[in-house]
Amino acid sequence: MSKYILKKEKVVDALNALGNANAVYIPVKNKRGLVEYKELGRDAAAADAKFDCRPDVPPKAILFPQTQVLFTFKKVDGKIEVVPTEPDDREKIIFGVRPCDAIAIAVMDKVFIGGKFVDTYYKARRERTAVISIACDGPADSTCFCPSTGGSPAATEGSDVLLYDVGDSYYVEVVSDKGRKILESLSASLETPSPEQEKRKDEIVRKAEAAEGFTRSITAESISKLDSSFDSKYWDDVSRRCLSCGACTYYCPTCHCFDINDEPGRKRVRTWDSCQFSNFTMHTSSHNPRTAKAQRLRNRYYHKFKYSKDNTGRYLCVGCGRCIALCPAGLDITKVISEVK
Amino acid sequence: MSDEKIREEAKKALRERGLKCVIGWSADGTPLFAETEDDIDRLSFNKDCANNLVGYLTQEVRSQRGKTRDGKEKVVKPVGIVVRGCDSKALLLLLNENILSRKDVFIIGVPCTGVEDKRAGALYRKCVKCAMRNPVVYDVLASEKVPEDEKDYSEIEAIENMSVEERWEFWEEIFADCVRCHACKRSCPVCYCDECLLDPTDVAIRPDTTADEKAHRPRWVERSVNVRENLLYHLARLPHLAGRCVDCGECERVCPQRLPLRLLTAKLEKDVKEIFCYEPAKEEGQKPLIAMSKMEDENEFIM
Repeated sequence: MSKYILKKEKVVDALNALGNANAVYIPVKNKRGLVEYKELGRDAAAADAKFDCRPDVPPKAILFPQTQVLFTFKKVDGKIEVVPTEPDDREKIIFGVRPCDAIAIAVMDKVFIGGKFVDTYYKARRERTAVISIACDGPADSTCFCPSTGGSPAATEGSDVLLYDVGDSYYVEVVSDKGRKILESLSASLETPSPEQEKRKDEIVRKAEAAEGFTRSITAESISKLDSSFDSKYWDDVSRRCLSCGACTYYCPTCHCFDINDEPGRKRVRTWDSCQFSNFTMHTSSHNPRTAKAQRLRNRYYHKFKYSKDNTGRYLCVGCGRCIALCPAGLDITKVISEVK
Repeated sequence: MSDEKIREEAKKALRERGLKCVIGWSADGTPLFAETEDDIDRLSFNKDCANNLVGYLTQEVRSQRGKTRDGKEKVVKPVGIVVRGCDSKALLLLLNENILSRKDVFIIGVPCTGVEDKRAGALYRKCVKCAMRNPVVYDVLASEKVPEDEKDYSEIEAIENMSVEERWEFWEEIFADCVRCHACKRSCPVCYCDECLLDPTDVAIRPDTTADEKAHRPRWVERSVNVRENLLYHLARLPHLAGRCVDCGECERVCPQRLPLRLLTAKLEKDVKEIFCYEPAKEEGQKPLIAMSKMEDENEFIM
């Protein structure tokens, strides 16, 4: 595997160089102190990139926008004509992704393009997107728990390149061919790692493997309790303080449910949906199998930790902790699962 | 400390009044529904107790209502709640609007000197200068009353002094960032409608709602999340809150995008005060603004 060094002082130049041929997304702090991904050159400058924290907003919307016009339609000579939306076919690089969010992209890939039915809208964006991640040196936030979900602060899954912060430089590890090609365009900025830098990188990997520093966790044992707690009164109790808002799902890097509506202007629009909203499961017949918020909340945890695991072999949670940080009612997914009875 | 007093009064009321539960905060600031004396021992009030719990009170009382099989009204067990000054204003408004009945609630008031935003590690903006630190409706107070500040509208005045273009730009930038997770609406203690015309994700459809009814239901706000729809959502909420919103700031607290939503609600409160000389939840038994008119009300739109 190819290894390089990218000096931090050269990052701005590297980002700008990448920006010449690609749409580059970097985490930046907005006016209100929220760290979110913005497009370089359009909404953000390379010097504003903020790589020292877990962004408050995951990069999900770059691949799966919250609002996406699928097509428009018009009437021509009494006939309906469908006009497809121009796809966003620019080459994209998401730079500075955290390993949990990169894994989340791999999870979304499985949903949208990994099965029998391929989502062409997602595919168009995903195929042209490269992910350059930065390994976390221990938990990036007090709400993090990625090791519990099969992830790791130095996981490479979903990434094309993984960077390790080794002090005044990033240790650069190539993960995929896509990543190799991107680095070729940066070859002038790259150097060879010193033994000292190798050692520093190995230390980050060791800490990641040992899951050092994490205060939150979910054990396989608590997850297995889900097998027998579907009808438990526990869900009524724990959901009492849930507000049925969409914060947990909208900020979740793996939540991918959507709704499709025709809107004025003759548009067919796809928007994010949330299983916490009461109309999420509303049938055409007016029957709604999940009218109570306890049922909806339970569904979210079952989908993340049981249905998904049973059906695809992996959790639908990457342990980023954003739902914990953002829940207006202070619900903590690690506590909810640990206390299942 | 007020914690002992809260627990003592909560236990007493649980025993003597047969409360269904007491809604309060645990020491880490998360909402707690205490049903037993052991639960009550976990009740606390400190700087981390930021949630307005009044919405839960409506939930707990309403969920008990209805008719029994033989057509009689079900018995509603009273529900206890711990409230700060701002929360108590919202609670009083619900009492005045007959959403809650005074006999259905037992109120433990806690005078408050402000709560902290953990993300910022500082007091919430609404708490820095606060004109409602002391509960206005309660059965017992858990501690001594504290001094209050004058209401500060300087931020609102700064926006009022902007040109129309500046103001548009200011708000457009804010509304562009809204993701319409509906946390503001769903945490709002005075937003208690079963169905909201501004929320296309929560339309009240019962099993007997006909296809015709569904087909002809107007959709005021689209599912698309963009400045236009977001603006409609936020601005159309405001007139429904006029004379009702007590500026408790819960909408701003829960917003994951950290949008300064209190700039809207405080402006609303200021306008209602200036135009109609009305302050919501000022006293028990007060008529709703929407149910009264005075000769001196501004009425150019009629003439």
